[in-house]
Amino acid sequence: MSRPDRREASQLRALNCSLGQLNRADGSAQFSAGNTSVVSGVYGPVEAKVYEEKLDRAVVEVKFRPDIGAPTTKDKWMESAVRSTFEREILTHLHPRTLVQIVIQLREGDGSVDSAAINVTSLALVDAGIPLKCMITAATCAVLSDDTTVVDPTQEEIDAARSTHTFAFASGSPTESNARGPLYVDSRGEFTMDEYNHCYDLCALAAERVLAFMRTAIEGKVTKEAKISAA
Amino acid sequence: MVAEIGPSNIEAAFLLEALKKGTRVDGRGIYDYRTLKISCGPTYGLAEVQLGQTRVLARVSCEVTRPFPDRPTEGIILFNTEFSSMAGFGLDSNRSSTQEVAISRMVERVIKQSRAIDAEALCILAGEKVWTVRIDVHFLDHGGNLIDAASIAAIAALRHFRRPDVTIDGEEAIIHDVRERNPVPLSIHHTPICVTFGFFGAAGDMLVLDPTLLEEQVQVSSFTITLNSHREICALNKAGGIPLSPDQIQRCTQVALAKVDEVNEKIQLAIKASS
Amino acid sequence: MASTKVVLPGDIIDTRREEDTTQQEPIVEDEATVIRLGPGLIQASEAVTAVTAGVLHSNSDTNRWWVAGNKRRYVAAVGEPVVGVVVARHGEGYRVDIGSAHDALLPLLAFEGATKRNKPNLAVGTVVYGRVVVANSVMDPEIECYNSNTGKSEGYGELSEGFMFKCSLGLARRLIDTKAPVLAALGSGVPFEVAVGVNGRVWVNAENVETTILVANAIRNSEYLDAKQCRQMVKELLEKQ
Repeated sequence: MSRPDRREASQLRALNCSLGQLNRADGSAQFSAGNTSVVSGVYGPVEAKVYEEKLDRAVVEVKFRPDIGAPTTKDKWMESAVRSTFEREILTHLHPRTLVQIVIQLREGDGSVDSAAINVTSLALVDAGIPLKCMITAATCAVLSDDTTVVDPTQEEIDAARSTHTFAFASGSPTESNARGPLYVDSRGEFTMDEYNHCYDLCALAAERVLAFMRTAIEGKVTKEAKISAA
Repeated sequence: MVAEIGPSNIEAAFLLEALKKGTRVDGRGIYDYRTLKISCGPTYGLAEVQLGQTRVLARVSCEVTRPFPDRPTEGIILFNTEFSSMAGFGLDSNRSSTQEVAISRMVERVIKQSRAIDAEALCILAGEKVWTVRIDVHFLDHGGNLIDAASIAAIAALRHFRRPDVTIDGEEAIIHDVRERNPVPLSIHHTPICVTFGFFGAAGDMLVLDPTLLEEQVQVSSFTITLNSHREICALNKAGGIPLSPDQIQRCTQVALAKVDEVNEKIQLAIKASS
Repeated sequence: MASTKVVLPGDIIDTRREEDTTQQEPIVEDEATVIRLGPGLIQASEAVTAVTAGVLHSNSDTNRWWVAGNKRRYVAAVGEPVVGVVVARHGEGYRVDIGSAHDALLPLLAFEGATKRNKPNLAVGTVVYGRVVVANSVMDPEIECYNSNTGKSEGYGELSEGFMFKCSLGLARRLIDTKAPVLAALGSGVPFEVAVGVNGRVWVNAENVETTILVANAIRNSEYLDAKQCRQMVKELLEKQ
């Protein structure tokens, strides 16, 4: 079955990103895959409120704001998903008694929003210069009613899917033997173990492609700045 | 760092000294607007406005609901603005200051109470089904003058928005999927745009158009005038601060008239560019 | 500066020198093979890993490696000049916002010639130029407005008049060099004073308001301009004046 937007099953939508477009935030990024678009601002390390500060590390706080309406439990869930994915990969012990605040604003959600939220957070943290153990990139797969598996599904595809799966990986090739497992997994619906494994492999490859895309974007920005300061 | 720190003494003093000579710290003249960029799309009802370092996103959406019993033939317009800390650290919605509430209320009033949107055109079946149009305004970057940026974003998003088409078959309303039939624009009576001025000095005798964050922190009073493209005044707002003379209001109105035409033109261009 | 290798967090850095890569025998750990890691790099198990994005630099003489990237949030480091704003006064000193996570302490006597009887009295909102003397992750930073070794102000102290603005930390570091293209170009056209804080705050003052605004805007505009573009931009600004 061909996809409504004529993509191959393993093909991502057109990716787009930009870094550092916000002035007030210490770091910011925008990431979009097709019509799904998110923007993120990061503040940190800033002073934590006395009642939430940790004496040995920085506190990581995530706020996810939907495009339409007030935040719901679904958005709270997204906040905890992003926080738990990044909390252990940020070198929080370098900045004790501080806060790293990540705000994610959904511009438009057309499927695969959770992976977009993770990807934009990676970019914004890098832009803010927050020390990270690794880059984290994510991808989503959907198993459709005809048993085909598609990467980076649109909302229309997700609505018709039997199951959807999102995986986030640390940078470093996940296909290599020394690779770490996924940092974040979210599977919904009814699926077999084989389907799950297939989605894992597809998402691992897709996440690698997202990383390569981000690398190009970051390299572009860094090289531009380096040229100016060298001149 | 939790609370917003005001400007330093030298910033405030320098700003006033510069204004006395008719210049502003960012090099603008007193009646200059900052660079305004509007982009619409890719989906209907999404508009992003950049006014200097201020950035605002507006999203318009709709759904079918029951009308209010006392207004069975009118659609419902909901307006929502929330400050997130993205726009500035500590600008959370749950402890919003009076100033933030004032900004939200002002923009809401301008869009809803000036009857910019034809609410009766949103009726599908009287007393049964109407469209609820929702406007969500998200502040992304606070560089001053959020009111103007939010009103421009909201108007641009409303004009860019398309809702699914509806046909009535007896007592049945058929809502056509956007892929089946071209969606239709909202019926908009007029497009109110806010233009804000800041006043300085003990007597408020110095004024600027489109104040920046630093100017907002130093100003002694502000005044927002809302006009549409028919050169009609839709709202005036002067929330406290020092008293202003009628002459100053007159002067502001003249300046605002010219600005509103420019802004409307830019919105028009942005909508055209996205289609 | 031939190398412009850009690294991302998680990238493993090959710190072997070129001649090392050809040798097969095990490397002996002595002074020559010890490598020193600067900002943006950590040792994770056996490998050297980048933790921030930027250009990888190395100095072959000292075998130091570091990553140079741009940021906006300042993290205090000893010896660095900073521009701060007094936010409160306590018994033992002032609390000064220097843009880092925690406010810095400025002792009441950390000024040139200050004694218990005769010391500057700074109001909240005063801008000061100081040097970081205490900076570590567990304590609040401390700054002083004189050189405690010589007892002289050496240019530090209260900044009155003039104008202060913020910029990226990368630009601030470039401006520390008086040969920075934008400062050189401006200096050949108009006289002005400047105090650069590496915390991304710059103070400028000139003989009149217009010139101060011109200088401030030229410096702010230079963020993404190279030397040639800087000179052109300054030239155009000066001509307009």
